[in-house]
Amino acid sequence: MDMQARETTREAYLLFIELYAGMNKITEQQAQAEISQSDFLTKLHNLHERHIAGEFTASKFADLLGVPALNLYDLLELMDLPVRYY
Amino acid sequence: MSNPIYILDTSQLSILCRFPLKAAPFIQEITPLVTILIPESVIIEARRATSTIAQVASPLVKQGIIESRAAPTIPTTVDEYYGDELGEGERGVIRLAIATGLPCVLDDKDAFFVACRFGLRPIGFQDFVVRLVKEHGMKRETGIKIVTATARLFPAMFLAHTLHMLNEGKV
Repeated sequence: MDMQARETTREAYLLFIELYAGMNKITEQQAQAEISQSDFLTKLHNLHERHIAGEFTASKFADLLGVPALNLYDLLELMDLPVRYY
Repeated sequence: MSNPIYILDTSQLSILCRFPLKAAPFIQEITPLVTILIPESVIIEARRATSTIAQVASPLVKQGIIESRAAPTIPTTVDEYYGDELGEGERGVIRLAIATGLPCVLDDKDAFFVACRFGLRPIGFQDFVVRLVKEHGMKRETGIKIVTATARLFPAMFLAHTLHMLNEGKV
């Protein structure tokens, strides 16, 4: 992974931690202790694949990831991942 | 007189905030005409986010230009039977629409179908734009611009009919 990709991935993880902590009313430190960056990436890509395949909606994707539904779009935009709108 | 209110799912709101890609977002054309209502739980203010929702939608919610309201917890059957496939955001839209009688905009086909099963009459994004033009004073050209710019996000077969409806009555 090149430097820019590494930075973007780190940025996405930190944004996820902020959103996850906010959603679950815990501190960001607690959120980081719960979910590592590599766990986050694995989960994100796995859920994204299933969402694109039609298994569940974007809102459900957000629920399963543990972030608010509208904020998910910023996370996906950062990771350059598309959304299925219908 | 206050503006008519529409309950939007997060996907439509994200589209209106992100498009067009290189100019002022379409949401700015819409909020003067109608009030957008979203379930309360779908957004939080994120200081780290620098992209679209944080820059466009969050301030509008904070200022009350996009209204955010707690969705009722009933009917519980929405969650009981559809909680595995539909997210809390969509279920919130459906419960809010049932409670308020306000029109809702949904595009995910599963969420759309479930809303119909609860007696609602949801409309899709492109039909929302048609309604903005025909009933709420949006300029026809603006409506055409919105649906054309976002057409690739929806089934290709919809666009021609949408443009037909937007051009109906045009002299």
